[in-house]
Amino acid sequence: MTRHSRQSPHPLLRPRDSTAVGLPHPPAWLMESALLMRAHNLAAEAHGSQRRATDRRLSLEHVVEVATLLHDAGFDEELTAVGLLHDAVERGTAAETDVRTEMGDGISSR
Amino acid sequence: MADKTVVISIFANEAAADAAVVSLKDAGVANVDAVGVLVLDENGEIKTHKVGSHSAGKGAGIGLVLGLLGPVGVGIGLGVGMGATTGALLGLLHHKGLGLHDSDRERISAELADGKAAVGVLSGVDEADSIQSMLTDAGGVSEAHTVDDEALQAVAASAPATT
Repeated sequence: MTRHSRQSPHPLLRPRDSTAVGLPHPPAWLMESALLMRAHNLAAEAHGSQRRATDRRLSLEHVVEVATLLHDAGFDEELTAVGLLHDAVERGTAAETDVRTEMGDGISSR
Repeated sequence: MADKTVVISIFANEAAADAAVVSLKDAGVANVDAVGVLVLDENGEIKTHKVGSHSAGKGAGIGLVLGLLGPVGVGIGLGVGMGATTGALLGLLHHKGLGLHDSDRERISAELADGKAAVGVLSGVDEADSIQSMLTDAGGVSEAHTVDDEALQAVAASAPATT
């Protein structure tokens, strides 16, 4: 008998850094995509517990909100991942090479 | 002669503005010189988010133009000092024909004070209509101002160093 419903998610689908440091869980729709989870984890690493100067919210919450708007508007996974990472280099600690290595040229160039 | 256009679009918040910019850039609109997002922080100071600019070395970028829309006497995140020089720059803009006026600045400042965010795109005249349309489709309230390229160059030369 298979036990799929009891198994843990694949590691790529599991929040890696955000929950470990007390950051909010990614939304359910995002966790269904390995690509988006990679982008989310990279964003979590880049922003950590950083808060925004404009509204003092967690930077990670902001980029997830941007990604959610793109997702809800019907844009594809790659552009939604770009939304997750749009501040990772400029305002976070990620280097462009990190984004390219983790996400590939297709996303880093968009 | 107006060879540039500044398209300004007001969004409900910064997330909506950023999402619009991500989708705009992905659309590959030709000759978009610079794109910026303008918001106020919790202290009422202007913060600009330079999403992309490959013209910073060529003249006045969107950061400078957006900065001029903000309240007089505040600094903005791109390193454009807007204190004592702001009045002189605005005077120069009016004199030189940049199509942004005090009434525009006051109106947009009021929108920002209400928690909204402005997307600004400095583009070629030919691309302005499609950019304005895309930003409107993304939920923004958009307007376009024609800009004399000579005025931009003059302002860039007169402005403090930008990043």
